[in-house]
Amino acid sequence: MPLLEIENLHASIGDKPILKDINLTINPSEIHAIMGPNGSGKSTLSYVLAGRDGYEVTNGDIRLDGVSVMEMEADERARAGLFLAFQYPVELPGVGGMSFLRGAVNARRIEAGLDEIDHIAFVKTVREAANKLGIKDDMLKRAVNVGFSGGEKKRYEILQMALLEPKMAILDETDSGLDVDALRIVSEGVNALKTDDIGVLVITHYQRLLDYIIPDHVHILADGKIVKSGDKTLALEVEKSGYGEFTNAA
Amino acid sequence: MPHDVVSFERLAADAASRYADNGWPGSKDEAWRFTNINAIRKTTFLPADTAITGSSSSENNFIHFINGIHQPVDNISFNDGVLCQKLSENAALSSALAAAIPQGHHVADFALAHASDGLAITIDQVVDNPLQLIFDYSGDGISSHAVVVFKLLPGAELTILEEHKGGGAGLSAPVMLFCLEEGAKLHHARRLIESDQRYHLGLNLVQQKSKSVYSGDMVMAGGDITRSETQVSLMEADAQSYLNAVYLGRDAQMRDVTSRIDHDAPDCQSFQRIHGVLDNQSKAVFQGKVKVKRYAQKTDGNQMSRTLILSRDAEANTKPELEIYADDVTCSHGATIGELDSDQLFYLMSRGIGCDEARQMLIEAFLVDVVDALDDPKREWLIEPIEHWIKTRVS
Ligand SMILES: Nc1ncnc2c1ncn2[C@@H]1O[C@H](COP(=O)(O)OP(=O)(O)OP(=O)(O)O)[C@@H](O)[C@H]1O
Ligand SMILES: [Mg+2]
Repeated sequence: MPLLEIENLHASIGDKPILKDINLTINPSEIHAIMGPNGSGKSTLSYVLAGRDGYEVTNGDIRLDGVSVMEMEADERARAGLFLAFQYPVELPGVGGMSFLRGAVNARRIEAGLDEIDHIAFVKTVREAANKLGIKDDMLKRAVNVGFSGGEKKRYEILQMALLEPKMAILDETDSGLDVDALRIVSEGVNALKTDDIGVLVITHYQRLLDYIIPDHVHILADGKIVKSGDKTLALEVEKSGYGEFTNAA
Repeated sequence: MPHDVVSFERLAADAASRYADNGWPGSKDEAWRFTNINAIRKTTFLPADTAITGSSSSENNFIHFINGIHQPVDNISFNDGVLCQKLSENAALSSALAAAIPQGHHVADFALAHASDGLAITIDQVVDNPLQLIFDYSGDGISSHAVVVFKLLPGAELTILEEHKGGGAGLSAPVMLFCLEEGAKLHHARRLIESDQRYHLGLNLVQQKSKSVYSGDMVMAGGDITRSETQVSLMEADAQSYLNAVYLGRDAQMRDVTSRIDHDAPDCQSFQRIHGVLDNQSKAVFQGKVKVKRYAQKTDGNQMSRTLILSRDAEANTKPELEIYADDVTCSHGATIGELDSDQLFYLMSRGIGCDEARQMLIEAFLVDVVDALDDPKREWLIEPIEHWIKTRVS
């Protein structure tokens, strides 16, 4: 069964149509990349998938594991296994990192009928996972994303992804602002998901990321439509000649 | 500043005649413009029975008031730097109170007119254990008017944990004066957690000599109409005053945090942080006046008020007032009124955290911020009613 199915998806912000008939199917273990010019609707697609308020789906359906998520709130979708790494992670002053991570993990565990995670064991798990991503201990003690550098915020997104073990991960420009080492670490993390039957949708502007994460499919989004799909060579093509040809087509 | 000797009896009699003339403030009274006290004005309160007194324990460092009445002080002996007397037997402090009462102050006049006596507490050293002032209220239609004057002698230090709790449709009108001599330090933590039908109109007067530090931290979570007014006089150089407050309102409750800081001497600092959360049709006002005299150069006066509105029907009013006559000062004020941030809410929910829990987390973060830097046990003690309010009310 496909992991994520997006069918005839139309979405607006206010009266303004942003997504115009998106169709996309992602199977377990597949990595899909979406590329496209600024303002083409990539982040909007990620928000609509994650269930953010303020976006009106005017037509179409989104199914996760064969189940429509259209009636689910953002938190239900997350607990059902959807994860979004934000293009711009949000600062939460006063919300301690550890209690945030624990709250998120416990919400999923409770949904799955498991006990809340043991405090001490969890701290250890987080430290280990953070260590692998080059996240320092003192960052874990701070309020969520407050005072983090751009790259640190991105790593913190990936830490959350690692702890939440989603079925379907959407990464919105996680590569922007990452140094080469971080890019490699993050990519290793994403590639590891592939072996676990997880579906991945990476939104990126740069072919560079796709050197590390080899996509099975590449889609070009222009003006709210997928105007071309292909394999990884499509990314190289875009890198060389830009989006001109696609935006004209759109 | 020497003042005339005024006995407690005189003080009470003068207040009674002023109260008889002036009564309660009207809606035209500027200091009460946003605070509707019709419900209080319409009620005839019976002063609390002086025969029912609270108990006190020097060992456990607490003084217990029942409807504002404490145990006869002959029975309280605090050894470690805390001396308690009847206010009627300490002419110096009753005189100090007489001089400190702001002119035409309705609440002070009401309280003093009805108080049977007060407490005079003198602190002459660094007291390690917090002194607890526990105010328990009960009974419908009863008014309580505790009058307490603290004097901290030079270099003395004290932590007060003051709590107002209990039920009954009554009125609490505590009046307190804190005189801080040179270098004295007072930590004054307060929880106002009376039950829903009660009215609370409190007045705190703070007088600070040089290098003294007053730190007031208040959580206002209870009562139907609750007003806390604090007036600080920075009388000598290098004194510092911190006023932190958290208020929580719901249903048709009224919350009023009023302050006035007089910078009467150079090189003094005052910092005020007020964070409030309002739900349902509740209303709140923060009115803060900072007055800097001409010779109070190098004054640092800051005031920041932030209100989180959880419902469209809730209403927050802020009225900052800066009156500055000195030219070399740093004064600032700011006020924000807003809703929960939808980006923050979505971020939490996108991690699987339910909407109610996400809202609770954000509200708690917003409020706890005000008291987060405090040491325990004060910090825990103040956070407890905040958490309780959030857990029982936010959904
Ligand atoms: N809240 C909003 N109100 C109105 N228009 C919006 C809003 N958010 C996004 N848009 C518009 O929707 C379109 C798509 O924006 P989106 O953020 O999805 O683009 P993107 O492809 O992610 O761009 P980028 O590459 O710059 O991240 C843009 O034209 C943008 O201006
Ligand atoms: Mg984007």
